[in-house]
Amino acid sequence: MRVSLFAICALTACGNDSLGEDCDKIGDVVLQENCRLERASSAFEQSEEAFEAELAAIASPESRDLVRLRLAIRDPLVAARLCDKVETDAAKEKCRQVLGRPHLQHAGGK
Amino acid sequence: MPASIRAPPPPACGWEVVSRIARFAPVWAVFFGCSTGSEDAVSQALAPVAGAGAEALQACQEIAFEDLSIPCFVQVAAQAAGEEDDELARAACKALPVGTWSEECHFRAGEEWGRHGALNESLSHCLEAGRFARFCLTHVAWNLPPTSDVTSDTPAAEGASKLVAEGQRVETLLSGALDGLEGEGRDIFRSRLWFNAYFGTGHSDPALALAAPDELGPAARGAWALESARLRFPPGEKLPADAVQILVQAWSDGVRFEGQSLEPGKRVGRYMPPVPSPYEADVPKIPVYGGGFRAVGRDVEEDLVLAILEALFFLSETPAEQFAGWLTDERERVRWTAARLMSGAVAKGEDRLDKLDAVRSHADPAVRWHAEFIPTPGRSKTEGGTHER
Repeated sequence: MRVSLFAICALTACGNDSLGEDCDKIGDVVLQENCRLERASSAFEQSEEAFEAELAAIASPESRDLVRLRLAIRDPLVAARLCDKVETDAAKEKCRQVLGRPHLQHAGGK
Repeated sequence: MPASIRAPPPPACGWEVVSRIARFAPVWAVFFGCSTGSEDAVSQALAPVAGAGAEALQACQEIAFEDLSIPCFVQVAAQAAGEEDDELARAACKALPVGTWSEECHFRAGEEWGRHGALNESLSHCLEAGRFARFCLTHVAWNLPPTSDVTSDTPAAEGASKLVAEGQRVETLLSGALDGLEGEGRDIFRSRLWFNAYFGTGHSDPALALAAPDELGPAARGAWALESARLRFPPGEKLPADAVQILVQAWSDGVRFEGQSLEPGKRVGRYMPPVPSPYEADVPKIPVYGGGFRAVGRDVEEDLVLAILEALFFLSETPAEQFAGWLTDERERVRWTAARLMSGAVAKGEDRLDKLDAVRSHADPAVRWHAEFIPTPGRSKTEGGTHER
């Protein structure tokens, strides 16, 4: 009984059904990061606040930066906004590859 | 109460759950298909490009997140071009989907080839750079290193012939390029080839420019003026009010200026961005250092004045007042050029209204226009400063 309740608890992330934590439940790291990206991408289209809230639900700064970078690369038009908040040195270096090329920020899209 | 009939505890959260999960970690890993080394995939995606050559290309392909493999391929292409490995550069660009990033990839590869003076490869990549092809040609041209083909010892006619031939080579490479790139690219390279033949060399003899065919005259005079102004008016000395006339006279008299040469990386100066005056849309122009343009004179004499005015601006300390006397010239292109350069020469912190009073109150609306347009001149400390349009 205890074991089954525990399993249910773990699967539902203890009643907090934030979608951010739904991504946390995915075991495969690539699928997990893809899940975070898709959620963050939708939030980004809604509002800055929604996007920041989505990022706040991600525990690791590397994963938060990964989301920011992937969005910046997909749409260099918004790279400056995203890169402004990257947290890790590695991500800052990657951002320089986009921000150092002003024409990219006018071109947009993949 | 015996444990077996005790009420079940409420769903536990926090550390309690964590510790329980930890105890069953191997079970969960199997159940959820957990992969080990999950941190590695993220770290690998954020890490700098590993290795060199084909190994680096392989590393890009192994990045788990496609988006992050994109800048990796671009970087590999640029590095490969910098190391003169075009096969690898092309393989890296080809790995990208057609669009912004594959265009950027060819742009970067073109730039890197250009730094080596490899025109075939650099122009080939630039022409594959799509929307960025124009930027690519501009960057390649203005970063093209000087060659030793034309020196102060080369007879003028022979030197001019070599520069003509090099320009023709560029024309051939750009032949058939669409979207006006053929003509624009040709003009940019003409300007650069002549720039390299004069500027920073420490020698300025008008004989070489005089040997240029008519269609290359403006580029040749422009380059002669840049080096003559640099050698005749060294930094720290106050420019004479008749600086333009002094250089016009030197041209007429065939005076050869000699002085210190500059390291190739220091052959730079103050430059103007393209200034899109609607009054000058139909005036013939040639590209100048930094991505801007200068008007071409109606005749050699007028063109020489225009070239010298631009050369004085290139000396980074020339004040706005230096150009004021030319605002009243009877030749409209001279007036407009003087107004543009005067506007660009107003230093940060100076009173723009006061400095440009003569421009603002001018009878010619095409002169007045330059008081309204506020350019942001560039001052390259190293080679390659260009305003992207």
